Amino acid sequence: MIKDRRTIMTWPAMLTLLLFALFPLVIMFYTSFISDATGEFSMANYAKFFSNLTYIKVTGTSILISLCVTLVSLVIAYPLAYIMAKKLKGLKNIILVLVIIPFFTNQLVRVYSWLIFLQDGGILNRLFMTFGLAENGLGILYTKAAVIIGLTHAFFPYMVVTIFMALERLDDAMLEASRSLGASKTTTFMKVIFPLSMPGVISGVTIVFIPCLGSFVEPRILGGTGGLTIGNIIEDQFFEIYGWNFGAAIAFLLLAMVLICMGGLNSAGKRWQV
Amino acid sequence: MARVNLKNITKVYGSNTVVDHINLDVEDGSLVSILGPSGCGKTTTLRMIAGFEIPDDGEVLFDDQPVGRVPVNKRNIGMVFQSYALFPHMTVAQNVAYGLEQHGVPKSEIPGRVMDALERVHMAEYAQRKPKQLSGGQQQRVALARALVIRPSVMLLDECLSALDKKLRVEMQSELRRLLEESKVTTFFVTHDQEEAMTLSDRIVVMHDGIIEQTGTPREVYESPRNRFVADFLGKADFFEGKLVSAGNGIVTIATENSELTLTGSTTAAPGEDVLFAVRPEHVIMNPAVGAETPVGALRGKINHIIYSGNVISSIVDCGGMMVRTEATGGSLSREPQRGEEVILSWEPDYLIQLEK
Amino acid sequence: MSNNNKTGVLGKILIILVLLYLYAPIFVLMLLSFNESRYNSLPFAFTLDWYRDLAEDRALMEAAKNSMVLALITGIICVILGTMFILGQRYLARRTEGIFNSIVMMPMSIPWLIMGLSSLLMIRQLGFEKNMIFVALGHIVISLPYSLLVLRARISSLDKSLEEMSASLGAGPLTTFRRITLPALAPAMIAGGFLSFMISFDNFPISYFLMPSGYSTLPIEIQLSIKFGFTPEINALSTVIIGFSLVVLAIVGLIMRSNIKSLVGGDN
Repeated sequence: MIKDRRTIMTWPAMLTLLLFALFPLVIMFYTSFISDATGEFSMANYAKFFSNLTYIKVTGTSILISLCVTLVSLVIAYPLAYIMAKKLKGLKNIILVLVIIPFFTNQLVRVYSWLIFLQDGGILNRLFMTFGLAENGLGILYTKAAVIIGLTHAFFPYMVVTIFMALERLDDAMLEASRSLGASKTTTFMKVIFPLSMPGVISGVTIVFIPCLGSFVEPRILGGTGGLTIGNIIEDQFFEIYGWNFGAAIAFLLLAMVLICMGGLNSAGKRWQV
Repeated sequence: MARVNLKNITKVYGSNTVVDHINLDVEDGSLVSILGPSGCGKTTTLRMIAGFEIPDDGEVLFDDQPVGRVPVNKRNIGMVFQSYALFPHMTVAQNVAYGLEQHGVPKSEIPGRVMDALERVHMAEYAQRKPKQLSGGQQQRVALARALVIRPSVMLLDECLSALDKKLRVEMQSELRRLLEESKVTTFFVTHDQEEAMTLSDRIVVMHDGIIEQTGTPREVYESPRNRFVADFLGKADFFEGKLVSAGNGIVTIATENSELTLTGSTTAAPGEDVLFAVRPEHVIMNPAVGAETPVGALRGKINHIIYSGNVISSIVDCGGMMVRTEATGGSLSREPQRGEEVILSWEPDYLIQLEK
Repeated sequence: MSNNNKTGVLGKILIILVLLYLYAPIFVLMLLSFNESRYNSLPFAFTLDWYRDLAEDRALMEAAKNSMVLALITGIICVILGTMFILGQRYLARRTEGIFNSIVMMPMSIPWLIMGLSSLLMIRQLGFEKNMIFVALGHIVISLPYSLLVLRARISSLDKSLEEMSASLGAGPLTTFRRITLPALAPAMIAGGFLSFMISFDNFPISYFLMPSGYSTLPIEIQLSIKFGFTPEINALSTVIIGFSLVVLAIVGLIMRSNIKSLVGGDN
């Protein structure tokens, strides 16, 4: 077959991506094998990571936080998306836009606003104290809870959109068919609506879980100086400790985790694809 | 206004030969339908004539000149797609003017020719509308005007009526025919609708699996189909297949799997050859069976079921396990057929069509 | 029907709670930017002092200028690369198209932390110094997938037959591009450009890793001020940034009106 010359137009973008996105990852993989101390090519960085319990623990915390954020997002996003798609008529697009807008506000401004909002003497604490719900303030800032609140705020709008779109595509005639065949509302939901919305749920989960795993700004600012997540550990290697190659190794492990999760979720998504 | 020749043209996608060494000669100014089921290669053939696809083998000639190296925009063709492909950001008039501008028609002449073309399709009053504001039939007319206004030497129409509803489609068929005949342009018409092909064209090319099965006038193709595919695709047919036992005196005897059949008609085949015959259902005459005698060359059977479709009543007759379809126009029947009734089926000798095996 | 009403009320409560959660902190922040107290304390007393301070802060203005320039470059280059890609992509073989696609969309599914630090490692390994060109390239690479999403939504609704029709009417490839393809794509190009602009304008992780010393952007300034004791000036700055984002988003929204969902790209 004759190659179409018009495909040349794809090359500038491809080249940019290959050189400045893919190639750096290859370099990162390479440097992860170079010891920071001796400069030799070895597994030392990986050995260092796996022999230190702190790193393993932080990785565990990262996964735990990401799971929490994903779960909380799902629990809020699913009913919200369902109500928007199936119960609201003209209002749904307005609400959709309102849900999306914060996603497009500056990440740092968003985190900063939570910092102000949650801090001792901040509005939320004051409210709780006025109503006698907490005596000495919530003390929620600089805890995992604050990180989860901040990350959920950042990513769950995505989940609303993916689930909303899956549900909106669902033909109402199908629901009527299910009802006409004698299924109750609950059965219809369990056997028709939920399975058909699974692709939306899975892409929502992907789109929340993965950036959470790699987050470092929210945990740093809302979680205090402790270095809560794997992202913080990596950040510290680059800005505090100058163990760049060790940082590269951790980053590669993080990337591997991300890719495995994506692969898993992708194949799970395919199973549900209609 | 050009003579078009396709010489051995072939198109291969991967391991799939979509068009397989097709030869076709089309006279200047004739209307040709390329008819076939979807996936038969008819659209690919059209796109090779247009120049959107380059044949992997063979060549396309316009007036004896090979056009293989001529890009689409230099071939002077007019196209109408099923989707009409009107430019959504231009008005009707701008759409029609577009081709004239590309062909270097002087600016002063363009408005006149645009209005002229729109008048011929009765769309002049919509000149300033956007395509979105038109109905399907109106869009169709604009698409036609746009293609015809450049006075193309070859018109290529790809399923261009299929998006319209039935009533409008029939209306457009005769109007389209008038327009094309008026402009005397050589026209290729791709369709899967046999009725459309019959109404619109002087010649029909039946395609199947990348090859041409038969070419001829609508009457030739319908009345003397070459093979089973053509007979089945154009209209309906009852088939009789078997080994020829004997033939003569207007009677053909064939041995099928489990019995021997005598059919009214004649054949060029010799006894012992495998043969295939067809009869059009509307040529089958159905009479109530009187007595136990079956006339030689006729079939005896029991009406299995009846389909009433207004102008036509079809009866499916079970002739010893073989289903034979008959059709009669509503008024021509002396009385309503009844289900389960014993009947005798017969036809005039000329209506037995011998098909290629 | 009472059952329906109950879900209706619960649904409304849920929507209100979610919107409160999404907007309360941001509104409080905006409100505090007009409050006199240096320590964000109440009672509220209106002032525009912090905005005046903001306008006089040379370092912040410099950072704002950098952010703008970076975002503009990113927006323009993303539109050019994205439009070319999306046009050429249609002529690729199926399998190649899949591979190309996953490569250009890749930065969307890799944490920006990794994108940033790997670029930093590359710069060092190849013996370059950090400079603004690399920052811009980093921004382009992560913004491109988003502009592609918007462009793709548009081009998939652009019938290939329009371009073929134009050719059949005698137009050469350039005329077809100028008169048919470009007008059809223009809204998506503008929207995609603004979107990439905003992603770059808001980006912190890439700039954080790649910014040469002596330069900064607004997100970096905010991070610094959070780290080293924050001032109400940052409230004012944040409010300005939010307002700016809203204006840009409104423009994108108006252009894409019917297609707001493609901005988030869940449809793949």
